[in-house]
Amino acid sequence: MTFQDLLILFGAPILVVVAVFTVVFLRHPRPQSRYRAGEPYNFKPVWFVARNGAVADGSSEAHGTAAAIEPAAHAESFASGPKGGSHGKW
Amino acid sequence: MASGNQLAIVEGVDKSPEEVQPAVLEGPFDVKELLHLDEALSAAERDGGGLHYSVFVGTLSDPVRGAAEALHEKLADPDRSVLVAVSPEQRQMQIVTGKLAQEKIPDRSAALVVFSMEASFGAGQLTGGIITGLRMLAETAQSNTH
Repeated sequence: MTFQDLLILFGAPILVVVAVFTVVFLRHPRPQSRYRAGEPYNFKPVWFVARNGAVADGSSEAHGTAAAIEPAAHAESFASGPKGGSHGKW
Repeated sequence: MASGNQLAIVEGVDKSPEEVQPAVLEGPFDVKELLHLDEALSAAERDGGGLHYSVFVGTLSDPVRGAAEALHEKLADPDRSVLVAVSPEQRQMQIVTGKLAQEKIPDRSAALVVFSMEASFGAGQLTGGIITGLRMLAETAQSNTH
């Protein structure tokens, strides 16, 4: 059995398998990052707003920094006055 | 995996999935969940008593309430805005309402919404909890509008 025979017998099927896997994974890449309860949370913060321009100092391509979401020292410092709402833990 | 200090702001509810910014795909939601959130946010904006809704999902620096209020203040019309801030890492959540929004969503109603959301989050349903919360907030605001 020559090298050429071996190449046809084993090389060709392997090539086909690799090609199929490549096509499948390129078309349907596995989910990159999904939340699972109890697992470490390493995701980028996301802020969903319903309208363009709803965030006063952010553009649609905005990438705010941690400094941009620092808490205010005093609630009274807000121009719009005291805020309501609720909070919880789980 | 994303470094934690960049913030992806997703604006508009009428974008097709192809237009979803790649940065948001590094968040905790897959495309299907993003579409459900988009739908819920759109419905809340449309039928939510004229208030503006937004959802922040990410780590909130201490004090958590202060961080959520600071985010709320960054909105274009904070008086009429409702912010749902969820921090899965700290297992904490905040609902922040502006002055006018508070009239339509009293703190007591917001506390009920928080209870419902906590139940979903406790069961590991991050998206489900947020959608439930948005729906309840919108219904409360709408019912207090008439």
